[in-house]
Amino acid sequence: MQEIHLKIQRQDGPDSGPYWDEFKIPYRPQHNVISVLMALREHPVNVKGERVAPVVYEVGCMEEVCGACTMIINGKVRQACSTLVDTLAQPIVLRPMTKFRVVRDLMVDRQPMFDALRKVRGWIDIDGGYDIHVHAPRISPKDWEKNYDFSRCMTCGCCMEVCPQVNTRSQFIGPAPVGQAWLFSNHPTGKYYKEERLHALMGPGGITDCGNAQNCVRICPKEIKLTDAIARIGRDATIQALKDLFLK
Amino acid sequence: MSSTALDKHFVWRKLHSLLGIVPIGFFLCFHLFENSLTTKGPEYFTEHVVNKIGEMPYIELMEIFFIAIPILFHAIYGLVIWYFGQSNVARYGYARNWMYLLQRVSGAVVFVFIITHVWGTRLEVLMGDSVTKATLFEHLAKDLQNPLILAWYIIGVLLAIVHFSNGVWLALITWGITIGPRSQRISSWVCVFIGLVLVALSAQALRGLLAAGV
Repeated sequence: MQEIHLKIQRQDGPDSGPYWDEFKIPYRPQHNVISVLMALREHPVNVKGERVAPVVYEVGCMEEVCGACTMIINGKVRQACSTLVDTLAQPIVLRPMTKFRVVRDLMVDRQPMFDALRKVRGWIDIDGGYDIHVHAPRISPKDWEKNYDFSRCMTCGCCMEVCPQVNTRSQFIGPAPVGQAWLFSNHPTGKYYKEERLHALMGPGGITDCGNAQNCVRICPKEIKLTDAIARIGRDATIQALKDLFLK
Repeated sequence: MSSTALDKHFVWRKLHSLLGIVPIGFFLCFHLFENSLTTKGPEYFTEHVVNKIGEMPYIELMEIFFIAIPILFHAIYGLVIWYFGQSNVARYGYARNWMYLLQRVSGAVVFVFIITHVWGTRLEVLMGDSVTKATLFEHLAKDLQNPLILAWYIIGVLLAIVHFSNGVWLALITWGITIGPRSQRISSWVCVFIGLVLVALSAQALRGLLAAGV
């Protein structure tokens, strides 16, 4: 293999249409998709010999923990930095995720996911009208282990991309924010806002919009048990609904 | 969001899920059970099934409020749910993803089937003079001699069973009973078993109607 053949779906701006561009760069062993895009940036000439604007992409950690470089590579959504070129069939087809607004080329705006975290109170209060952490909160090793699993979520968007219920017609909040709502309600301090989180997930776009296609748990690069969280939130929502009906 | 009242969206979705099991799913099981009694012959079936059910007090009210209205709501709201989804089995061909699509397609086909089925049986008895309760068995047996109607019945009933069995599996998750992958795997086998029992009952019903030799 002397060359790396890239086929990239490009888009000049959020409101312009997509088009394909093809590139060939010299082969080097142990390339990953981001290092290929970096190499391409140094000499952005397509197969027709035209010098074009360098392909725009997002990258952060280069070790699959930040989620920034998520894109569709040969039809599968994954992180570009941890995708090794030597394992891919050529031409390598790169597309931006389809469930988010494209900023430019392979860069998308994952803001809806961060908005969703805000909606489900995806954090722990460390201060308030009372001393929350006089001592560090106590947590059982079992809870800690389960929470650790969910704490590895990097808001990359893979689960949103594969979810049939996440699309432009629906308001579904998506699997990752449901997982985070569960995580923070399972924390000794975060659990005080469990009811608020449940109510945020019991409206339009909430837990009842999950269709149980279960693609999320299959695609998650961190192997987070998203369907567990969804089912647990489903159970908690059922109980919360009964409380709302009979205790209020 | 209000913390005192249940959200409308939540209530509609839960009602849709609940109605699929009670009363619609229960009715489906009962309906296939009673129809499996066609194997006992037209006389027995007319006397012990058609007439017995017809003589139940408030039967028309029960048919309207426990069968017709729940099915109409479940079907129409189900189509709304389908509209807000965007299936992607071509790209992600996991089994559960296919079941997601099948649940929607089967629901829509079964809705059309139920309309034709009720039209051809219950409503004909109710409105026309050509079919009465006494001749309902014969009427259906004759209809099923037509291979197209027979095929339509087989497709309709099988898809109804698939939709119900998978619906039970889904309801067990969404109501919070089966949480983890292991319990969901076990419940999927239980649901396959429920489906097979219903298929056996339907096969009996069909055998009884075809054996009548009308």
